[in-house]
Amino acid sequence: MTISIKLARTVKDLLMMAQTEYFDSGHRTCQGCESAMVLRWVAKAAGPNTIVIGATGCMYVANTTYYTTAWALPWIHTQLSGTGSAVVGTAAALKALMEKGKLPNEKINVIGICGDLGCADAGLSEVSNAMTHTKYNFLILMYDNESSANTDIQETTMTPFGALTTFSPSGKQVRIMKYRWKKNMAAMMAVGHPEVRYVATAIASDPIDLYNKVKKALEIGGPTFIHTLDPCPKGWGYDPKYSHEIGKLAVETGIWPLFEIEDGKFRLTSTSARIASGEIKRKPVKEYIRRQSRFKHLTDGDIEYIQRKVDEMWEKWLIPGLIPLTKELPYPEVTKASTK
Amino acid sequence: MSVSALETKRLEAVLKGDEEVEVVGTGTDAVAYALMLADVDVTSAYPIRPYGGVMQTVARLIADGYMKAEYIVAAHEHDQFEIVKHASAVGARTFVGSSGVGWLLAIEAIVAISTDRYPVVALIGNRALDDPGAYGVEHNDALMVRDVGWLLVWVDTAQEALDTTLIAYRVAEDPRVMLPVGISMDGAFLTHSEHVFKIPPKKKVQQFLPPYDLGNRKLHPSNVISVAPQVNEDWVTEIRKQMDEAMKNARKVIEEAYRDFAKIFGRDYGNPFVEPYMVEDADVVMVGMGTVSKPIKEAVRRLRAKGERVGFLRIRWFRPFPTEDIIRYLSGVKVVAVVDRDYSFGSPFDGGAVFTEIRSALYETDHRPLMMNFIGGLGGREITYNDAINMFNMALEAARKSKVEQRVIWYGVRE
Amino acid sequence: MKRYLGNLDKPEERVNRALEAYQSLTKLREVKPGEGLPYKYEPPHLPGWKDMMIGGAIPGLKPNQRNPYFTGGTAKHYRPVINFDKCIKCSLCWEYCPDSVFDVTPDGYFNPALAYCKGCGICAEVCPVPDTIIMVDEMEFEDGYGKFLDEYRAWKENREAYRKWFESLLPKAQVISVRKR
Repeated sequence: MTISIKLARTVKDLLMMAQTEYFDSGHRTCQGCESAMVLRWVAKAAGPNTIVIGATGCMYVANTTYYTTAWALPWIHTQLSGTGSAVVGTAAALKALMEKGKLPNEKINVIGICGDLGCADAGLSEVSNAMTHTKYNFLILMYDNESSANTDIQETTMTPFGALTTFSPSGKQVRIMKYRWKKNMAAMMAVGHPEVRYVATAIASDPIDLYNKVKKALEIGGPTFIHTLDPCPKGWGYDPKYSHEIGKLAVETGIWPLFEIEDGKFRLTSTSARIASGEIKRKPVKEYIRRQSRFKHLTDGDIEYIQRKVDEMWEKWLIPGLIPLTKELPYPEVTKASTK
Repeated sequence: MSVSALETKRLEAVLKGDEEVEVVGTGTDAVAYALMLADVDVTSAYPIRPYGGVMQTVARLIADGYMKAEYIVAAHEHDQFEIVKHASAVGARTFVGSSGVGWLLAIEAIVAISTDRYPVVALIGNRALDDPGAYGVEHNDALMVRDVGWLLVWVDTAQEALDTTLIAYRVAEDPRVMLPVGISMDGAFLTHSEHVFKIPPKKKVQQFLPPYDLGNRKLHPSNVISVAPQVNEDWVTEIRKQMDEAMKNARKVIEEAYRDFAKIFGRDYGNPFVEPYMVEDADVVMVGMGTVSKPIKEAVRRLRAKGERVGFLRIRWFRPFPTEDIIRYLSGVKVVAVVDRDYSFGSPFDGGAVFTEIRSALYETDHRPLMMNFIGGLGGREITYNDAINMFNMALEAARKSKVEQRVIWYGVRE
Repeated sequence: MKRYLGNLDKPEERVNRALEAYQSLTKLREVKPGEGLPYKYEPPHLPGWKDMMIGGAIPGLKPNQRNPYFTGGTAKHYRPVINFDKCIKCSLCWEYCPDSVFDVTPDGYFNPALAYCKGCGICAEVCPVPDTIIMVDEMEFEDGYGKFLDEYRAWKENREAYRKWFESLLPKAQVISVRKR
């Protein structure tokens, strides 16, 4: 079943459709914060009939500051790992109260916003549990700035290979402390929870894509998940004015594939779709990596390794961006041998 | 598994009729029936003994259509408590619970529930903390939250468990209080033992328990608020002070609730905070919480028959602490012996938590009694009436000598 | 110096950075008492515990209402100055501003609320028309952090004066990413 909602096609559409701000100026985010951009566009896409839940993380500390708020939507804090629980609790309560006639029956969006530390690390079991509660409608949005950015830029599992953080510096004895490869959260949510009807990746430097994805996720119902990659000037080490450009490069180099999975159908979107179709060529990852000081200690060999991994994802994976298995699966041969 | 025909008849009677119905069930069953009567909207379950029984009964009541609530099986206890916290924030009446280490795993969310002022009611099936893993009762799990704004009450019978659950919602949701309540129930001794108790009719419960109303704090698109934004030192003291005031208000609200309860249901608990048993003219008064009252009351009866002037005081509400009642009943007594089913290593005089608090409450009185402390019944070890008699004899000897030889006694510990 | 930097990785950017740093140093001067905007410190009146909502709750904003209690505009080192004459109303600045600073004017221009602008410079980077949004060092201004400055109104009131002012600032503007030019 396809959903019929009005999606934005151009920048002008966004201006026409989403001029009202629900997450407005007066938050304490850093200069050039792309996570704030994500929140801004999510709030615009969701509209006024929405309850927002914000887990501890930089977007908690920054967007409600010193007993003030930047939200024009009802907003509540949840503990670092509580996003999955909070959205389930909120959605369940709305359902119960509406069914019992204690609240007027209407569609209220429930959005849980969590960072990579709160979602992919601390709150993974709650989020995973939430994704199985198909009778409740909510969206979990993971803003991923690839570090624990509010507490001095520490390593999380979502920090990319080799990146410098205060927990993974580069020293004389150990050059690369972050040796682990980043988790693929959107894929985990989609593949591990087959009943979930909408999972997507997005980026703030493509607001049309982000806006449409949030709209779809909220429209389709049930538990949904969106993973955004948010360039962080402070954590990644670049001039804040390049936030938009770094984000674009993440997509253009293929490091961050934009995709959506709607009712089990996988689809690359926007720039990533054009890369897959051959319309544009993937840029070398070096262009992205050399722009950020968190990668300054990487050698050309390291970058080649990263390039190889990205190439592998685009050329060898069963589904690029989603399923990190190569197409040379052993089982067809085994089957052949046994049937002979 | 469906509710038996007999139970069906009885449940329909309480849901539709005007009369209370007598049933046999465990302490956790009694709480489950109270939740049915209170029309709880959202509840969250995660298995751990001994609290788990209540959720099994609730599940059965929902499956058979006697209760309508969102029943959410959580990923773990932290998940459980976060779920109800947020359900409560949008205006749903909620129930949750846990035991021992499960309760402790949830402690981050537990504290946020009280600081965010959501009137969640929780059952704590008291259980010893790990390690090593043990099922038996100890009160340290509930006592972990004694300082963070949870109202704590210990119940003694299944009937009291049912009634206290209804009272708990009334007190917690009162605008003067708006704090969560933890109902403590001794693991195994009460959670899993069968009792005869009466289920009141739902009509009377509706009369007793007004609908849950968060007022201007309800999280809804029609009421745009931000709850618990990041604050600095400019605000924290004031937020804590509000909780302090709410906890103080709770004493009055609890009294009112018990008074109304007696009026509507005809069951009068007398003093809501403590249950005095033959304390008038007593030289020695034993103090305890929970099911330890049974053997101690038996010991009191037997010793009284021999002419010893002994009595027992059961503490029901531990938070807010019944300071005035403690002073009223215990000041002027020769010896007060506190039975602690808990420990508080390194505390003043190395006593238990209840002992320490009672001692503190009695400091201001003119006639301070001698004080003894028995740490006993840990990990679910039984305290029999013979044990209680032994304890009384030690306390009586101290009363005769007007001197306490050994202040804190680990009762029954193997040397 | 230029030659030294030119041999390193990312030469243009390094040269730009060095230039920026040099410029900012040459602009430093001593501030004397009595200079700047008249300002009287008024300690904020904070409510007592009886007047606060319980549970740490506070009233939210209305749609399109900016946070009245926290602006953040003091964070900026550079401020966007807009040449409305050249603006093609593409809306990219409005779209990409993480701080929702740009107000849409009735005739379709985008006017920055400088009190809330943190000066990240994304708007100047994404603006497709050269020298339309320029980032100018805050040291050039003595009006606080632009708290009371309404660039669009100034332009509407006197286009000629505004154009002159803009042109005087243009040479002092921060060097925009070289690749774009």
